[in-house]
Amino acid sequence: MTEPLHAFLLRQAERAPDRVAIVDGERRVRYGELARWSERLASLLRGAGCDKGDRVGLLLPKSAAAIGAMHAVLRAGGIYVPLDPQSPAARLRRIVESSEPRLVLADGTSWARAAELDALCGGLRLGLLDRSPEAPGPRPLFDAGDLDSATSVVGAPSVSDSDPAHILFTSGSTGTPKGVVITHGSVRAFVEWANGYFGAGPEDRNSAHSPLFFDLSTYDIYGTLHAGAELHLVPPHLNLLPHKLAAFIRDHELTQWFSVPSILSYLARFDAVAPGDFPRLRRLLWCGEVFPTPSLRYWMSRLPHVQFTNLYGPTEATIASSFYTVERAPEDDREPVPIGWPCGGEELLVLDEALQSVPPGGTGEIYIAGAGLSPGYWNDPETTARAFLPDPRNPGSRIYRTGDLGRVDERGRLVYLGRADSQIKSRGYRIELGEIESALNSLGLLSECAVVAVPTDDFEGQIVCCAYASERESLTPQQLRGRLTELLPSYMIPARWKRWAELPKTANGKTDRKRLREDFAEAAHSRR
Amino acid sequence: MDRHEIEARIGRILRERANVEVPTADTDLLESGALDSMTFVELLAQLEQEFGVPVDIAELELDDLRTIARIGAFVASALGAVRS
Repeated sequence: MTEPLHAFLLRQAERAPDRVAIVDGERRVRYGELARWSERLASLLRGAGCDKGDRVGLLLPKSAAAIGAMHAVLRAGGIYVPLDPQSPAARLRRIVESSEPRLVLADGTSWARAAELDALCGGLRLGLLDRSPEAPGPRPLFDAGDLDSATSVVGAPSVSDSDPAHILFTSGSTGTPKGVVITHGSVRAFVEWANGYFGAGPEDRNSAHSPLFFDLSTYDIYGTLHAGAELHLVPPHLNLLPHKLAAFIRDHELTQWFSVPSILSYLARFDAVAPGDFPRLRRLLWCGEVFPTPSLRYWMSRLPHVQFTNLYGPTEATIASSFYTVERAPEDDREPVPIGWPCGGEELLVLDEALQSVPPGGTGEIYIAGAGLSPGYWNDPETTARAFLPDPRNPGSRIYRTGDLGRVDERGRLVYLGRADSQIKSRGYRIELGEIESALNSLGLLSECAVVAVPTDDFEGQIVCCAYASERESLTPQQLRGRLTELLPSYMIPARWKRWAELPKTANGKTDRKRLREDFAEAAHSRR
Repeated sequence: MDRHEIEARIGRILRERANVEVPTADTDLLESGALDSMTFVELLAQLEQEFGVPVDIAELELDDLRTIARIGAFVASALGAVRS
């Protein structure tokens, strides 16, 4: 019998109930307290009919309550679905309609969004983690008052390794977000490997920088609780102020930092890190996109006492599948940092179109096999079958097609070479350009549009650009942008816009995306 | 330059450089997601260029940036400091 994910918290709560688990602003939540709170919420969820395999939406900001709620859902046998309160209700509606949650949990800060979603979806079952508002609107099934008086869980179902723990929705190329199902066993396999490799222990103070709908946060949370360490929630608004963010790392005496590279490049750009800064920091991990070599060199020269590790892997293979600890930053700015070697229990393959192994030195597509593989996309067997293929060497097991291009170098390390399709990363966010085009087309204002990504030399990584044509003479980019914010989260909104009489075409009549990219790149260059 | 003129110019910077139409000078730029790091860096550069005031990002507080009115107040006090 293996442990479910929520057992990490319960074990620490028994062993050291008075140790601090989560630092959330001024609040310090202890292991014992977090375990008891999540048990009371689990009991309310059971009372509201939540049974094994039921989904529960978490419309919650990054907070101690959200992490307690994740544990409550798992303890009730359910599957949690993080819902970003910053995302427009129209997009959240698609996630709710796909995942069909038995219940959606909100707090005081997200209650207005919950009410909006409730109206759009024609009635949700809601739970509120704060006191009920006086204002008119939907009534929650329970609120903080019920939570205070709730008792222990009655008849919690047992879960096994192959049971789903959560569903993370990522951008989908057809316009509808895709739900990646993640199991208890996949998360546990990564956490056990990573905590062993990094030597994590109860003395650690880890950052929680990524939002909860982003799978980096899965390691922040379960890695910390597994180690019995402290998780320090990084307030999202610090992302604009590099010196304030550096002060957070310093003042909280963090020992581990884990984020996407763009925020690290942002700090480097404003030189917010002093030589020998963050004396307590032991390791700095990044994942989600390429860390530009000049920024990495800046960090490594500032912090010679820190271990720098590049993690690689899509959500579909749970947090990360390969790792590379950098001894020295490459001297050539254009030389990428390798994504390295497989994490424990994982296997990375470079295959050609016929699924044959590409010899070292050759370029192919990266496939992943092993403990981290998701069972597939929620309620979408067709997309699942296209991405998760039978392993040609052993048809009883599966491999995941990442869409990433790679090559094995002369030292046997895997090197990432870009995407094979139109998925991009901008400031670490995984974005399907097709989802943005689909949202633009749904406005009914444009005769043509194309969304392309253009690389920058700066901290943003790639920027999203939109070329469009419209018969409406008076339509401005400001109006288009405004309408699009009702449909997409802010990180998907194009930063550059250009109106064309008609979009340029290739010889065979398709939109000439290469020309559009060149056009935007040139315009971006001349802005400097 | 009066406060109204400063706010109008900041609104224009956001409109022309970031394609963001901000409804009022009191709209919360952070909560509405209008001000991300990319837009923010552009805004700082434009404030320096447009008003000739140096902006030290290390000294900024989040509340200085929350609305066009707050940014306007920040610029006005910086202008005062430059003049005196």
